[in-house]
Amino acid sequence: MEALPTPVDAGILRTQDLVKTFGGLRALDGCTLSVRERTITGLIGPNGAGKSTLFSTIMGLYAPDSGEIFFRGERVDGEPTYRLVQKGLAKTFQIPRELRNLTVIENLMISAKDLHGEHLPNLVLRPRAVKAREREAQRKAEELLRFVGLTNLRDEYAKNLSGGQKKLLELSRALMSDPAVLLLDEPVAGVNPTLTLRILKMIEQLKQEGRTIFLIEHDMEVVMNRCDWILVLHQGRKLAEGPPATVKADAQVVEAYLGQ
Amino acid sequence: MIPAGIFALLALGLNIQWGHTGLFNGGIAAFFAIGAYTAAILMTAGPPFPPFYSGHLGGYSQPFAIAALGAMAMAGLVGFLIAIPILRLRADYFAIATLALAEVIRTIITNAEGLTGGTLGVIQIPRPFDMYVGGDPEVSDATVAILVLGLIVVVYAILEYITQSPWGRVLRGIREDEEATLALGKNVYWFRLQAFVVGCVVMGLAGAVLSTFLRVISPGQFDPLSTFAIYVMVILGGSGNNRGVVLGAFLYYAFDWVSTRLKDLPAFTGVAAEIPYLRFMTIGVLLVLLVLYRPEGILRERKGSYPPLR
Repeated sequence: MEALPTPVDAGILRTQDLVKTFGGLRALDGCTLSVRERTITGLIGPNGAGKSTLFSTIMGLYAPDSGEIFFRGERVDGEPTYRLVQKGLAKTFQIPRELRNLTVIENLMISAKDLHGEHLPNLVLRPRAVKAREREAQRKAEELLRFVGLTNLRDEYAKNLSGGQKKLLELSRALMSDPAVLLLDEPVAGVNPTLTLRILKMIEQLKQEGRTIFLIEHDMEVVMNRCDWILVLHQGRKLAEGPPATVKADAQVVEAYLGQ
Repeated sequence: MIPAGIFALLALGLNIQWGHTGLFNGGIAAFFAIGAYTAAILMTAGPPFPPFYSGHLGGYSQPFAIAALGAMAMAGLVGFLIAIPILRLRADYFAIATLALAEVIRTIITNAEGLTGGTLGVIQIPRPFDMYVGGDPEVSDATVAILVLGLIVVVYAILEYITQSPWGRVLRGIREDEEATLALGKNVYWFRLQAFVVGCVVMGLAGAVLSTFLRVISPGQFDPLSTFAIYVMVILGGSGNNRGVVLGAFLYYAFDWVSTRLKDLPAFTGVAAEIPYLRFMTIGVLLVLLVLYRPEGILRERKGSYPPLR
């Protein structure tokens, strides 16, 4: 991965005047924001503010109606999702989307990048390279399963996991592609307090590894204590931003979202 | 036996599309027909024809191997061309579009007389080994049976190898959750296209075997609704399990074979006229029971095996 010298204030991930409509609804309405490298940046806002739409649009799952998206200074809107993953973006889903009839380890293996064995000709022409790359991917998958604590479930069907375990699977799967920027859509929603603490610790560790975390979260305690920077989205555009203390004190934010 | 083997090839082709990738191909009959006609046209010698027969495109007198390759290529090509516009459709529309294709293909083969012999079809299709074994029909059937079994083994081995590979793993991911697989960085469209074409190629091969086996093919053999019998075989045997779908094809054929002969047994003479209807009812009831109590089929899909690395 080439490390472009990114000026701190430019941000590793930026959107410019992003618009996304669904019928008459403007889910994103001129959304301009920037996420700085190696931070945990929180995205908050009321339901329907456009948070999940923003994530899906950044990942190329939705095509924006207008506006631009930049990753490491390069314009990436309009690029297919698989190329964005290739470049170093990854996203988890709010409600875990485990591949139900695949095992836990298969869910991770399938998420690896550059698998020679995914190209039919290689299966015939380069079987050894296919095997070698599979071994590498498996090693990484097992390491990640240890990281999230799912090793003992590695050969279980993903559909048999509990809600919390599925959250862990979702997170570890997104890490298989070794992303520079990780978009986490409510990583601890519906998770018990103990597991929440564990997941937050993992997120902290991912930041220490040099990754950038961009997360949607409704739990204000989590947001205020764990994020370096907070972006507030309201009616499809940025309402405010700043370090937790500033955002907490912002009268507009209080009115729109936090309440009295 | 031989029809069961041809069904098994069709079921293997469908299994990669439906069983592994979750693509609902409603047009199996189309690719089967394309394979059968392509092979027939390549294999047949030209005139003289019987006086009632006006002929068709042909006279190439190619050996079976060339004809089979041609059939596979043509079925794959048509699959590729039809898939490009319709593969982005949602599952149900995709099914309807492919079913429509089957009807279109049948209409073409019925009406393009110069190409296909029209309603009379293609006649005088040779069998590959008859020139070596002489004219005995039983010996000739035996050679075709061996050919079919050999092809099943080869096709099974190839499909098993590619579906158990990382490539096949992506197909199963798409079946489970297309959008999630997309978000994980896979070019979902490209994988679906490949799986669809590979399945069509196998169906084309089945068509080639059919034409050499029957020696005569006509449009009536490619009823679009026959597609659904193949689904019964795949679901019965075990969707996603290549061994299962071959088993499903043979079981289906065995049921068919037994039930059509029941009327000749003394015990059933009283209900002989009802037997055809009872057959369909039985199939229906069995299918419902299967879906309710064993939706994974007789042989379930195998779990991916990743032994710990040393």
